Amino acid sequence: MFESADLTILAGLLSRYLVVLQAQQALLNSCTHFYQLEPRLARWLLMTADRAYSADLYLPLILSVQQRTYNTADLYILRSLQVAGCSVHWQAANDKRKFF
Amino acid sequence: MIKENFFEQNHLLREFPQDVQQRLFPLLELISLPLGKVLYESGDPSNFVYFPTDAIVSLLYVMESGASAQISMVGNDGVVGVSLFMGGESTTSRAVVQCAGSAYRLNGQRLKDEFNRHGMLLFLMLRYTQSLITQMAQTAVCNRHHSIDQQLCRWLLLSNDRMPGNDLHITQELIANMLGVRREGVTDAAGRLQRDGVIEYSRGKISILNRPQLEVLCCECYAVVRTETERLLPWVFQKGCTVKTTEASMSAAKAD
Repeated sequence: MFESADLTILAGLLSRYLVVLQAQQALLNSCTHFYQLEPRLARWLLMTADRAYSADLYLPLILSVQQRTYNTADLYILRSLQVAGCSVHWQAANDKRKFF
Repeated sequence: MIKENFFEQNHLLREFPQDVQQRLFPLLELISLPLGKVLYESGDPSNFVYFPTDAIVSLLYVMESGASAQISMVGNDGVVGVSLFMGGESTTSRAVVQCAGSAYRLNGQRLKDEFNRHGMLLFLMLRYTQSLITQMAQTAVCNRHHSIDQQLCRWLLLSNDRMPGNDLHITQELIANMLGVRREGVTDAAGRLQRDGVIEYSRGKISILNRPQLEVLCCECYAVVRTETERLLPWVFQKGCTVKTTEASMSAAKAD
């Protein structure tokens, strides 16, 4: 059983997490509306990397580079070719964060 | 003191547990919300929460460029200032009155104290927060994937659900700001709806004439929000809010 103090701490943590989630949704709403694909993809990658254990992203059930691109496109509800275009552009610019 | 039945104009207030009503209702203050009034800015600490009766408040996200888009709206279904009683203290959004009217104002700390008692109010407010999150998520998808016509229909229906009556006092310029589109786009879309006899638009007032047709023309986003709201807050649409907050009732309330 939870002690009353534990419950207060837990409820406080969950409430604050909901506030963060709301703020993230608000940002997502405006970002998808106002920004082009490239900055949106960069944001998505950064937010994913923030929540991952390392700088390398291993998207599940992906074997080939091409499939990995498709997976990201599905998550984003974007056309895969556009996503691939961004990654090629970044690699051409010698960006060290080669996610694809 | 404010007459008891006035509280019924806000569905969330009406569902407060009896003991909470007794503690909080004497502290409520009925205030007038003029069109365009900013209740709080992004990042500012807010001291009050607002329970609209016949006003509608928009929560907007403002970009660095100054462009803004609506992320959700609150009317007589809920409360403005969720993050305040949930411990966030400030928000990343701006709260602006999109339809003039009135609201009950309450010191945020008092609501937070009640929230922290972990009684029925906690569950009620969490359910409301979930419905608000649903609205935000659906707005994000709708703004991205649907036409201005569909977005306008969704916006009109959501607004209509959150206020008494079928008349919205709002300019096309303001709707364009809410949807994050150019005013000309809203003018065209509103013109098509007016030609079809769905709405009537004149001098800053939009009257919804044919709500069923509006629902037909809308994308699925409205139905998603409506269904989820009905599931989480069944009383919002079951009990119609018929009492209007008039100038006379406000004066009577203040006099009491």
